[in-house]
Amino acid sequence: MTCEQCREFLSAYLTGDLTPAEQEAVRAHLAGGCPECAGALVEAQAAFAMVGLSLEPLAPPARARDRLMAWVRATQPRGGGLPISPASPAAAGGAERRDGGKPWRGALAVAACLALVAGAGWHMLQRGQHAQEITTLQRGLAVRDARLAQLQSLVTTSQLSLIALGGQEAQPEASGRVFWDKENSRWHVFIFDMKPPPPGKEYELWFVTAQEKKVPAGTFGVDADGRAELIVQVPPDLGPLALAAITDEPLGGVPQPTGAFQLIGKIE
Amino acid sequence: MEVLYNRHSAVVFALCARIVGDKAEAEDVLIDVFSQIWTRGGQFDPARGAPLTYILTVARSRALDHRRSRRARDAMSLDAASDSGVNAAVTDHASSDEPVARLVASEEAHRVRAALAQLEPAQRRAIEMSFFDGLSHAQIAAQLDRPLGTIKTVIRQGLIRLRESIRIHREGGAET
Repeated sequence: MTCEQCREFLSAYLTGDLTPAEQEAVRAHLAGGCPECAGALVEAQAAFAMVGLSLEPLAPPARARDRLMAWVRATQPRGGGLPISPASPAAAGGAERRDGGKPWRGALAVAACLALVAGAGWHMLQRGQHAQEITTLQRGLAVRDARLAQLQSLVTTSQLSLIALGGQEAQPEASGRVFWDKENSRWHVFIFDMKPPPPGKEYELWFVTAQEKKVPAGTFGVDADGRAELIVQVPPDLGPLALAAITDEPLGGVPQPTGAFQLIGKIE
Repeated sequence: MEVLYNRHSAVVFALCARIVGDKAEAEDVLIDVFSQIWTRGGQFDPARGAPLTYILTVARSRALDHRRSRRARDAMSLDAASDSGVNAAVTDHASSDEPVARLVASEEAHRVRAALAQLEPAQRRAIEMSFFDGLSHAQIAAQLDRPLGTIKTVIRQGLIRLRESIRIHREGGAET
């Protein structure tokens, strides 16, 4: 069987609509290790299974979970956990000094002056470089001070809630924390172990209200360690919030989610 | 298991209810599906597809098996079931829903419906009859009074288009 023939039969293979001989021929072709046809089968299976997702989800009765969990407990134990580690910026600098000059009598006075002038010029040059380094350090300190002020505001606020973000199917290893400073109407968001967004895309944060209205909260990327940190202002007129969510969207963000959910956190 | 159940039970229950047509029986099938996944989950091979594909495949298979074994019961359409009690599951137990899973599933349902809506009506109808009713191509051809070869082609082309729509969506293309 050729690949073209195999792919002609894949749909019917999935639904069991081939004759036994056709079924065996497809199976043998796939067992022969054809990667393209194997990939086509995986895609066809996924597409067929996705038809089941076209239905609006229905919450099953609570007793169904109780029945199932009682059965699971009777068979095997279970467990779970959640990691956390913050990131912080850094700044560094260094300096080097040199100095020189010698006094000399008589005819060498000119040379001495020249040396002094040269030395002074060199000193001026060094001072210029030092000034630049000082400016850089001061900027770094200002950034650090601002961050410390933000963190201080966060830990001293009288109304703080925590929202744990869990990785969804697209990013099972990712996690996050949202510290909701209700006194100042801010979300401090910390993201961990997130894969970089696909080319041409970035991540977008959403406020999700109790009425399932999604309001954009800002876009961001992640660093080389898969971490991100952002602070967003919570609009005052949203009403009760139910979820924090992150999707992948085109650069610049969109007014309503179009991408897959990466992280979601329930607001208690 | 609790995480898996919280994440996918609403989708699986909706599928079971649609196929089986009875809320109480759908609940039994739901538990059957997750218990099978729990005991045979080691057989899942990620190279052969995503976990959700596996879960939905198991759910469809178990639900169709259940329906076939209960053929003596009066079949209830999804609309009838919705009127009589399937949606009652939502209103009676909404407070026990996993809102995160519901949000994700609801968004995915919207996207899949949009992808299905892009199909030709004949393609969509034939695929739904195959998926939800478990009908063979020959049975679909008989019900729709179309040649068997036409139905095979319609389903094959419909699944190819559905695959492309889903792939385009996941790669960041625009929906229409």
